[in-house]
Amino acid sequence: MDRARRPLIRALRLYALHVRMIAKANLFYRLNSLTIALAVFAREVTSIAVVALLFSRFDALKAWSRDELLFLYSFLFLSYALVVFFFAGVRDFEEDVREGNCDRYLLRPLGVFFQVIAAKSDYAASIGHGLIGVALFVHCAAAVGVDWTPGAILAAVVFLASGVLIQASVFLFSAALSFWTIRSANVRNILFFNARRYAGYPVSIYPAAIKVVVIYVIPFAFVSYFPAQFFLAKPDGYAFPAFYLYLPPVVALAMAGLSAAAWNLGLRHYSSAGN
Amino acid sequence: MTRYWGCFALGFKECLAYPSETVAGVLNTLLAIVASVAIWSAIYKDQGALEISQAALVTYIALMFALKSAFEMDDFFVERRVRKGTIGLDMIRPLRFRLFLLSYMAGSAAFRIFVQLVPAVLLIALWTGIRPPSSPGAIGLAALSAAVGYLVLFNLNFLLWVSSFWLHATWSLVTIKEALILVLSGVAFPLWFMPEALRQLIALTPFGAIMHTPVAIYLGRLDGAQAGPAILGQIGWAVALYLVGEIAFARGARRIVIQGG
Repeated sequence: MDRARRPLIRALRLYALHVRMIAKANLFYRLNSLTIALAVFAREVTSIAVVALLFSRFDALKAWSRDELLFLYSFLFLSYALVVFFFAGVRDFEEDVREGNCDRYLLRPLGVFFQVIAAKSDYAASIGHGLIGVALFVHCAAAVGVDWTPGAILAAVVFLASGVLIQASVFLFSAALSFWTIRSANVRNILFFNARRYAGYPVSIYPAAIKVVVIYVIPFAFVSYFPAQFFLAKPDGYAFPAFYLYLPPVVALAMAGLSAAAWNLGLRHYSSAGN
Repeated sequence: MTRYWGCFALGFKECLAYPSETVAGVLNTLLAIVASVAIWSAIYKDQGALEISQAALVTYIALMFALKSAFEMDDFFVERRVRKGTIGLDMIRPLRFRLFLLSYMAGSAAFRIFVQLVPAVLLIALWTGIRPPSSPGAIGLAALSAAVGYLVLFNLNFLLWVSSFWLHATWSLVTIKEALILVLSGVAFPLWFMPEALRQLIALTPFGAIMHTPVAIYLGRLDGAQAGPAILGQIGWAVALYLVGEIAFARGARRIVIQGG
């Protein structure tokens, strides 16, 4: 049977089915989805507005121009748009556990993780962040004069994918905590969204303690700062070893591995605890 | 009158029931302040001196974020009650709905002032090594201005809360409102450094009257002579928003009673 021999194809087909279902649900309540997307857009645009206001008065922030700073920012928006499109289920997993959905997932003949990521996709947030990300990236890459050689294109794609994996891993760590009935939403929000806030500016402006956290603990610096430095080579980047520019995919894979291990550990604990 | 003090106490005590939310609030405020201070410190390092001293600006940032967190209100309190239908009970109670809300929200604001604002400001004062400069005597005026600013915000929020009598979900409106406040009230970016055209636009809105005026008075940017008109301006906004809110509420309450929720 084709099914038994090609589990990956089957999984992709099922995933596509879920995506269509969720899209239909969103289109049904079109106005609602649209207004939510607009609200997310408005909320995220405020951080851009602050940058615009800053540069309406000053020429540079630590030798970064406005377009260079927004280029750095665009990595955050683009990657987050993809994260909430694919991994919104992971982000909101704690709710799933609380409502008992996890037990339902365990009973079905599909992997729990697959069901978690297939069941939810945050279209509104994805569109809200994605529009800003695309607009910023396209405009600023041109403005700062990025030379789109095949190597540069590949680098951008790799950095984007790494950024998605890093952020998804942070969500996965937090989701894994729910297996031990630890209410992690508050802690996760503080860590994730503040790290993201800090990663919107060059990490060199922050005190040492913040730098350490954003580079080595919740490595958002590898989502935005080092990818941007790869293309821009701003002077404040020379404080870091050159090979850091090539680390995003390494960090991404390491984070993915660690968070997957945590998830599996938690799932085993949950399903064997006789819930 | 004592009934409303009871509501105040209720709002205060309910915050005690969620210690993790309170801690999260303090941490978020501190981290936001640290981020903003880092950005502006980099600016001052590049620029040298600006029309506002660095110490004053750091104080401004700390106080604005601290006030914002103290002024936070549950934007979905009314909407939840409309959805569940318990809004009907609120209407028939011998309490003026609006005053009940204000007392309740003020209770949680009082909690947050003690538990979030004071520690946040103290920590920032210690960490930056810069004691927030203050003009003696301006503190009383600033406190008064802050209280009026709170009323302005409450009346503004009330307009949105009342819209839940008509709209199915107010999340989008609330989110947009929060975004506007963040930028136009001076929290995310000091009003003093904004382009003149934008400042004039903001003067036509109530946003500057919420937090910027009290902090400006505190810092001595608005001295005694200027503080009076500024506070009167705040009162004007509070009254204007109050009147619009009353009209909206009267219409909305009638709608609910007739349609039965």
